[in-house]
Amino acid sequence: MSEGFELVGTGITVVEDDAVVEGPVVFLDTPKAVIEFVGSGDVAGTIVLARGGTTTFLTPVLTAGPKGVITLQGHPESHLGILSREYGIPCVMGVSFRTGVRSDRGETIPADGVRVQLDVAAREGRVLVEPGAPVDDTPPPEPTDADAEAAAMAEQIQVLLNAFQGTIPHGGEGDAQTRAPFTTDVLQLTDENTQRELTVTEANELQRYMAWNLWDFLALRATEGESGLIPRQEYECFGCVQQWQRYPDFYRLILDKVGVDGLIEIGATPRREPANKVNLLHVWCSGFTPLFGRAILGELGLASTDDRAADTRLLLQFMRRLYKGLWGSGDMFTSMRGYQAPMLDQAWIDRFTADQEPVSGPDRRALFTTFNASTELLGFLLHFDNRSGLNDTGPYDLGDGRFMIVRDHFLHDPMYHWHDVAEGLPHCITQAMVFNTHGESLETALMDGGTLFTKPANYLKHLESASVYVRETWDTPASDIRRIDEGEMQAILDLCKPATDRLYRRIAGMSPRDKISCGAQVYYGEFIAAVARAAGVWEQMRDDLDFWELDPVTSQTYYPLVRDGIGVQLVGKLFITGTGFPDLPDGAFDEVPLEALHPLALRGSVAEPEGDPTVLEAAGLAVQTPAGWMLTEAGTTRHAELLAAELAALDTGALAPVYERFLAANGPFKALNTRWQSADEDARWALMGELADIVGRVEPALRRTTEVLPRFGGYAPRLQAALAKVEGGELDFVTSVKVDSLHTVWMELHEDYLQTLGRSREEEGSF
Amino acid sequence: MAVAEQLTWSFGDAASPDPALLGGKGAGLVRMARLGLPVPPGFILGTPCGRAVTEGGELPDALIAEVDARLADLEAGAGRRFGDDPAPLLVSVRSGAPVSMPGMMDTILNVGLTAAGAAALAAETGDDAFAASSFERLLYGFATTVRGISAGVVEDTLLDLPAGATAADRGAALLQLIEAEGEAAGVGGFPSPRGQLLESIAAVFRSWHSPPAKAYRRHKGIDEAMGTAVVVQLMVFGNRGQDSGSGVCFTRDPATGAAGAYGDVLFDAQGEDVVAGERDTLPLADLRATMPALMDELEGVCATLEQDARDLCDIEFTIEQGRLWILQTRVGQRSGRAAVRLAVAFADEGVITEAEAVARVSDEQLVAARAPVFAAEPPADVVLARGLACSPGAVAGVAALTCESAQRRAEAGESVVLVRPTTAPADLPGVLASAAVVTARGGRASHAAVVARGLDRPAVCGTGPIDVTDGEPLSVDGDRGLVARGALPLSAADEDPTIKRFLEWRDAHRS
Repeated sequence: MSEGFELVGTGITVVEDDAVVEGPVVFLDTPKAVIEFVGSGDVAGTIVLARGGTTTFLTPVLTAGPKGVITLQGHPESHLGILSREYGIPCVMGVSFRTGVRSDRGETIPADGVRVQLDVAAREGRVLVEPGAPVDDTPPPEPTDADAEAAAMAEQIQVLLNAFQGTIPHGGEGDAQTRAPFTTDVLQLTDENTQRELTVTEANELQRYMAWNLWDFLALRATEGESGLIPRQEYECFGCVQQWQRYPDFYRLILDKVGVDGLIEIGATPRREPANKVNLLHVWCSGFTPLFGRAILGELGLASTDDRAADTRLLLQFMRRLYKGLWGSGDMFTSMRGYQAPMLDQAWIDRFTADQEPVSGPDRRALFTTFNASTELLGFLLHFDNRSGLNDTGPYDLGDGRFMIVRDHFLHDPMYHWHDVAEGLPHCITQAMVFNTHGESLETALMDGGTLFTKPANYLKHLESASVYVRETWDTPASDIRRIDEGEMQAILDLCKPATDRLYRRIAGMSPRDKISCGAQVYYGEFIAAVARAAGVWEQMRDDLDFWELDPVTSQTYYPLVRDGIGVQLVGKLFITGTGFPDLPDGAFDEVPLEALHPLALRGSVAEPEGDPTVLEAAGLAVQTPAGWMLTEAGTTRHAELLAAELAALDTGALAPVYERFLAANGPFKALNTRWQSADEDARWALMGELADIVGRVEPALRRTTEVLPRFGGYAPRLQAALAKVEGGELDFVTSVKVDSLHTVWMELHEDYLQTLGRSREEEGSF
Repeated sequence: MAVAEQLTWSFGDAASPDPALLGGKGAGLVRMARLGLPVPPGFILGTPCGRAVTEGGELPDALIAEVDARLADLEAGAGRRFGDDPAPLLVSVRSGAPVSMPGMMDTILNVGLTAAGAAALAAETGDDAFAASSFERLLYGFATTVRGISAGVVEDTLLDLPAGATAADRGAALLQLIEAEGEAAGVGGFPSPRGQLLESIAAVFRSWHSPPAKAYRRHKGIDEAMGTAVVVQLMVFGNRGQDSGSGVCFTRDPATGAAGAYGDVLFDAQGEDVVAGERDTLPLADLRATMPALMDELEGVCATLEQDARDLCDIEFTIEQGRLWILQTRVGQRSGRAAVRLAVAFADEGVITEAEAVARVSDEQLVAARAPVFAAEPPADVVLARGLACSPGAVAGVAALTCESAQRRAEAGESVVLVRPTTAPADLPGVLASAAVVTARGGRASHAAVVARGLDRPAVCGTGPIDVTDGEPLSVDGDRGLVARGALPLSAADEDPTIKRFLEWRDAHRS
């Protein structure tokens, strides 16, 4: 190491390497600065310093190949960490500098142009500066109370990052500890428990596991800091809310179209073929991200996470059914499977193995690593800096200490208008990479999000051979996935670089709101479109059901989440504290009892139902119309189910004589109504007594019915109330349909008997 | 009060149909008997009797003696005997105040039956179920109305029976209840036929003093001295087989005013079955087809009654084993259109004067009469279905086969004809959104009919299966009881010559 260089900061090394890199440093804090630097500077000789750990901000720099990268925030598991790993660029992340000059925001950094050295030999990366580097001596501002609080919070965060909720670790041990108290088999996929609905306990245990699983995968990412290019966490939380608001209806549509078995069949796609967006990541997100939206609404106070429990159940089971197809049966998550996800059918692995070509010689290795890194970077950028453009499966054990990873990079999807920059690029490139560690230790972990992590991080040095394939469009048959040679790889690379530059410049020129809009479009469209395409309902959703329109509640969250920046804090908080999937209360799934739906089913519409009709609305069971509250199709179905369940449990034998007595009074009552309507005022006075007699006559039957079915308890008081009105001279209360008249109540009562006993007017001959 | 004063009258021997003396119902029966109509025989206990009966309901001996004598006459005329006879005589007992009021006892049917009598009736008619249900009906009425056992207690007794209980089972249970309650109250068990009759009569007089009746009289300023009459009448049965039946008949069409008897009949049924609408009634044409002579007789009755009343009448009739009986008649309710046509027709026939004709039509009826109507019976090829004219009026609109469709179309401003198999409460929002209602099943007392009449919207019920698609243009003629394809031409009623003439009379007689 050069004499006189002074250690000024430490951080975390992404990929350990013995070589120390040295060069002038430049601080890049805006996309404009990035573009100017790439246009004029000596990128290859420079070490760049950026604020955050997100991927795409440094895109043009990464493609041009800087000497090294330093970040003030972030962690190697972040996207930039992954990227610098793929490019093989020495990188130290999350560095805090002891001395230097001040940035615009008061951060301490080395002055531009100062020569620095990056020492990445160990996990703790070190940054040193040349002698005489400028130092800003002005004393740092006095620590304020806020600073003290922030420090305390940072300490607390560190505890929560080290162990889930301060107690449960990462990895296999964490998996075991999380599952230990569970009483259900919800994490085991079986034919039985994927066909039926989940219980509340099952749903809650699954959600508790999801909270740990998400933390295990992504908690570290929560600290990756801000992006200078794309406000990713902002649009993600916004997109999650939109998913929660709208996915459930679309999931129901998909289920209506293909059924449970059809959905499981779609979930099996990643076994049948690579290069399809129905993959590990997208299956995972089908449940995780919309439910995260539910938690965000809860945090914002816009809804309770207890609301729409039926939707929560639907989302969880939808995801489980996809997983059922994906794994066949057994453990649901890769975190339960030792972080191994070899799911492709053996025929593919055999084909890939046969196609392997050695990655030998520096040129071929350079071509391959550049190809891998460049397509991955473009995949990130095309998907607005999120992970959905890449997916790994494996490792596939090939024997002799060799294993294969199959990696998809998605480069072109007609769903997004900005993908015009990727014109000429295939929908997906698939790399089958074979590694041989020759006995060296290399732990692989394929996370549920479809990303491979290794310890040590530099796995590429073990790459022995590879083969590369393309799928031209999303609907190209899997049988037409074809292998490409070096020439085609180079041709793709030649398209990637300008596409990446163009898209970077385009995004850099977007307004913040445009960026949110496009990002949310990716986050919202991505995790449902592939399944919807497979189910054959995508066009219907897009063209007939206003798929791309924002839900009003999503819209409402824009200002707090995005503009006021609460979203970033919320995402971090929910990730780190493991509170993204709160328990549902006991009884959550039967919170809409028959009694709540029944009046609407009986009367068709009810202007002012008893209880809170918005509960029904939230559950998708009722809507408000000009005529009053009415059941939706789902509500009608649910009502029929509940009624059938009630009937199955009902002692109809006990009710039969009661109903006979009701019918004995029914004929006379109806005759009385007809006589009433044709009677003059004088005659009506005499008929009033008969009305009272008939009400008195039916009351014992009602009382006995109520003993069996409490919901019949309302009829006798309603009949009495109507009778009192009639006797008080309000003659409308005999037959008028516009008030709760004797006829109105009686008709409803008769209908209730018919529905409850499962009888029809036809078989009874009463109309 | 003079002791020798006459207390009872048979329908045939009353001097005049005086409601003050005979009550409303009694006066009507006397009037019909005097016109020579086939009224089941009976007698009336006049209003002075009521004044002689205490609030406790004790009947004076003199009255009891007169009732016994009248009963003997009735037995002689009918060739049946009250009590244990192979052919038991049965009567009904009704209240009959000069004006209707709440709280008055209504009707006790089949008075005179006993367990033994029911067996005799079963043997006589060969119909066990008929005999058992007749006895059940008496016991139910006697328990609740005469003995004042609350409907709750009576119903609870019946509810304790197992499902599928027969009329005989229910009768036995009711008999047991009456015996037990009667013993407990010290009024004796279920009485003999004569005892049933006297207790029923006493119950009518007692009901005159019931709190609701008293309150009503106080409220309306009705003289307490008015008193109530009691009508005792021979029972006739429409449910004695296919040559029996019950019906309602108007002397002319009450919806359109068209000439000719108009009404419904149900074979092998009691009058209540006709009104209850549980069974689909048949038009009088069916009666003409099966019993032409009886239909002629009924038309004769119509002519006689109309001449006497000088107005449209409605008639309740029963056919017992091929014999026509007239039970009740009154001036018939009518639609606005019919009111105008009838007034003009009666004036043209010389029955009433032009001035009377003008006075007979209320402003409300005239407004209704001037509503547009379908000018003429549509050609047969556009008539889609015929059913019961359950609520008058004319509407051309588009068919809606569901309530959702009805509401959606109504919101879009269309005139909607709701077409349903039947109506359930859930259909009501659809009915409210529609201009007319058509149902495949159900009669005049069906929910659809009751609701449509209440809303003054045309309804045709009981059309049978109807071949129509949602959105198809339809016309509903609630006067003629028909549904036609397409929008039939509506004519402004003012161009109708009858209405024009009436309006001229009206201008002339109202200045």
